[in-house]
This record gives sequence, structure tokens and C-alpha cells, in this order.
Amino acid sequence: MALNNDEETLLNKFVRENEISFKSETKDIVKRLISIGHTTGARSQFFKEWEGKPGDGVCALYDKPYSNLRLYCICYGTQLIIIGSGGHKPKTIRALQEDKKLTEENALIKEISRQITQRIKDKEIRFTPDYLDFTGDLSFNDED
Amino acid sequence: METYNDEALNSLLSEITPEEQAKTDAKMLLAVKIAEAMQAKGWNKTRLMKEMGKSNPSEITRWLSGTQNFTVDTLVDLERVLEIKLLDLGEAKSTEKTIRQYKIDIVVPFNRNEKLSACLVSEPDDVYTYYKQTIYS
Repeated sequence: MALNNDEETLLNKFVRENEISFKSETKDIVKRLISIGHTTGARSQFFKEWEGKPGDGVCALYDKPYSNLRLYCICYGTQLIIIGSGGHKPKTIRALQEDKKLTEENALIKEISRQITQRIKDKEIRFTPDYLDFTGDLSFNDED
Repeated sequence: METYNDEALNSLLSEITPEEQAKTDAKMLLAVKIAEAMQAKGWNKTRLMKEMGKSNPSEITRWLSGTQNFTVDTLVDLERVLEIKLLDLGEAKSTEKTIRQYKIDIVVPFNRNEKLSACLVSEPDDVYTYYKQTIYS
């Protein structure tokens, strides 16, 4: 997923922002995304749920043990996930709200989820017959 | 279709070797197998924690997250409590193949409308096991 007229996806932004300070953790997250995409599917056990509002599907990919890198996603069953961005959650904080960057990224993914849900209700977005993708008006702007 | 400048992601992807990816796949698949075995037994995380003699539920969550690098000891314990195979040591244990021979006698009634009454399975040690089955409805 990319925002407005950005030239990069949110996942690329996440990798770019963390690959220097948290190289092995970032690589581990990407490897797990590959496994999810090609081997296991997006099973709920791989995600920390309830990172957003009830029922909005916002979750975070579990971090590697002893690592605190958070990647926010929106799960639609086990077949379709929208990958957002995230950041490092320092060990010194307990709640994401204590970190400005994480709070912003979490608010962004919750807003994306809200807009997608609204468009599904308005029948502007539909699942493809195999439930592997969305089809319809998938361009979102800040004005929305 | 729009194209994006995903240089950082593509660069990282190019660094991931098939061997590295295979390790991650294995961890994720082990987690799936454990979760499916728990589901088959109707167990939740707390039950598995108790059966494994653990005291911290977050440890079970980590096992199921696909991030855990399991020790052989833990895998053997999981095999025992969940009654599944996680380590395939079949070939290493024995190179001999065991062949068991069974003779199955099926009693079929003359009247096709009647239900199949029984079948006899004679095992190698000549102990007859009587199976009453209903195959046709």
C-alpha cells in the first residue's frame, strides 16, 4: 500500500527507516512475510491482534524474541493482508501511545482500515472472487 | 498497474538466501503444526502451557508466532504431549521395514437391502478382532 502520491510503499518506508539500526530484525520480518505469502497464509497466530479498534483487523506482526520492531497490518481473514508501516517500540515504554512515531503509524493504519471498511459498505471496493485481493476504487487521499 | 520505488525492500530481498528463507519457513510451519494439533485436541494456550510444565503463557504465544528457534528437547516434549510428529527420525531409527499382514473377512448379507452385519480382521498373532460396522445406510 502507498499513500497519496508517494513513490514508495509503506513496507518500503518501514524497511528504509529500520534497515540501518535494526537490520536483522527487519530482514526477519520480511522473511516471515514471504513465508506467510508463499507457505503458511496469514494465520492469526502470527499476529498480535487488537492493535486497533474492535473488528477493524488492525494487528502487528509479532516481533522476534528480544526485538521490539512493530509492523502494523490489516488482516482480512487468512488470505489477504494490507501491510502498513511501523517502527521500534523501545523497551522503556509499555504502551505504543508513549512513542510518538508508533502512535502516528498506528493512527494511520487505523484510518486506512476505517476508509476501506467504509468503501466496502458503499460497495466501492469488493473482494475478488478468490478473496486474494480487493478490486474497485483503491485510491485514497487525505481529503477522504 | 502503478510501479513504486521499492529500492530498500528490493535490496533487502536480494540479500535473503534460499537457505535463510527455508529456516524461517520451517519455524513458521512448526508453529502451524503445533497450532493445528492444539485445535485437534481442543486445547488453548493455557492447557498446552500446563501440559508442558511451563508457567509463562507468553512462551506459548511465542511458540505459535513462528519466531521461536525450538530446541530438540522442546520439540520432543511437544511431540509427546500433542501426540504428533515434529521430528522425522523414522529412517534413522531403523532401516528395517515392518510388514504386517492382515486378513479381512467381510460378511455380506444375501439381501442387498440389509445392512452389512460384520467383518472379521485376523491379525498376525491370530487374535480375532470383531468389528461390527455399518457401511451402507
